[in-house]
Amino acid sequence: MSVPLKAGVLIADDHAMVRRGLRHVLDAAPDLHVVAEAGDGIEAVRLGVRDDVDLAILDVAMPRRTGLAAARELSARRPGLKILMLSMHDVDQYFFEALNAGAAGYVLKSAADRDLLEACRAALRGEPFLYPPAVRTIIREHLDAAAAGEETSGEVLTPREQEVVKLVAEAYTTEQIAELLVISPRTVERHRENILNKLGMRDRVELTRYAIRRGLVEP
Amino acid sequence: MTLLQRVVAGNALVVFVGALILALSPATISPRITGGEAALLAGGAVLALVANVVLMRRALAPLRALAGEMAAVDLLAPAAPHGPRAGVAEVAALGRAFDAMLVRLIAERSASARRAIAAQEAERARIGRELHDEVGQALTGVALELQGVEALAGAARDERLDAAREALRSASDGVREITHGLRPEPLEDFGLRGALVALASTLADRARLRVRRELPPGLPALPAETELVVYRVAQEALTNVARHAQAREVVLSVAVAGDTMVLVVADDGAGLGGAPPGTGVQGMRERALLAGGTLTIDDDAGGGTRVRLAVPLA
Repeated sequence: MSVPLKAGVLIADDHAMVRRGLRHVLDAAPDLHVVAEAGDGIEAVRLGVRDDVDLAILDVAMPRRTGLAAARELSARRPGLKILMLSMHDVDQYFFEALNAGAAGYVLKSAADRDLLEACRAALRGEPFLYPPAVRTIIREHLDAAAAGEETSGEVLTPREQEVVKLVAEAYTTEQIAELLVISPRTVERHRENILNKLGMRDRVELTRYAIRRGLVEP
Repeated sequence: MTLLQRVVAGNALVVFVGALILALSPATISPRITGGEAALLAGGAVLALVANVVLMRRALAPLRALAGEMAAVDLLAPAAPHGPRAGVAEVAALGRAFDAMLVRLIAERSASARRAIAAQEAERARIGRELHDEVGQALTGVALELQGVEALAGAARDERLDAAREALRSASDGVREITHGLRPEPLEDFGLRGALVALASTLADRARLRVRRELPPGLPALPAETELVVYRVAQEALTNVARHAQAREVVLSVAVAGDTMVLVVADDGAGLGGAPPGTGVQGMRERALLAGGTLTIDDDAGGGTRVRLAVPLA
């Protein structure tokens, strides 16, 4: 699906105040506008199949039908639709479950004012929006697998990348890593991307596959 | 007189009286038994039997009375124990044992209620404190930052708005932290297995601990309250490992064996070292009991501590 000039967005959340806030943030962006609002999971599915919706933003916990169930049905009925999950919970498992349900990513509500637009754009480009704690989990899982002598896919990491991997797995933030290694935060980000690529995780399908293989989600 | 002596005496009396009647009465039995003699013998046997039943009933009456008393105990309001009992030795002993059991039951009941209430109050105090410290203060901060912001312009205004936004984010984080401990939403959203994976991941992050998961896919569904028990026991056990064990690695495993599900949390840390069980362990035991399961905590063969919970599947 080509990215239209102004992407139509569906927002589904059972709290009117959150919908209102999301609408403010999204409508202020030049490339997005809200075309539909839903207050529960069933309504979200009904509105999400409409042609003018390019992106659906679904709250995980909604009455009548959970956001994850709605995402599963929407991605089955309209494979071209981009989906983002939104939740209060700082638990990386939501990110993996979101990918498994066909969503492009997961945004924490308390960070929505900061991350939402970036996540929407990543989703519309067809890329995963990486929820930072999930990146840490992926890298930790990879290191554990390597330590356990399991075969890990991907090329050999450079010494610098190995340093970054270790620090990311030890829960250091990008800024802290940049400071420790005396490089810029942008460079740290680039290392992180390269690492994920080398681990064979270029898109969300591969991320999902990895998460299932490592037992982070059930297929 | 003991119950045995009573039974023996009753039987002896019947046999003795029968023998006496045979010896003193003119009745005889021919080598070939006649009809009259047979009738007399049958009548005598029946009479002896009836006498025996009457005597045994009397001997066993205290047992029946005790059984009635046991059946009548109201579990919601157990009466004070009966006090010393008269009657034969065995029955009196049984009565004393029963009284002692009632006393223990009543004591355990009130201790357990006290513990539950104390735990509830402590939990309320903690939540109240957290709401006040983390959420209330942040919201007060927001109100103060926004006070008079309309009159400001430019950088001063931006700075105040930024501060208000940060304070709100911290309030939101506080609420999330508090509710996360109260209601295990991952359990509702992902089921038991996914919730345990999330638990392991959160612990690995916060405690810098390696968590090895052995959680086979396709675990059978359990009743909601049993899943909650398994989840809470795993949570408590993992929290204990993070707090006390000084472990480097912990294994979190769930397996199905026959008609039970077995959860094991085993670490490579310092071990119990004879430490007395705290309220957390007591809570785990009570939860296990709730699900009809059993909980054991012991030192692992390879050092460290091992918590094992077995709950029935159905």
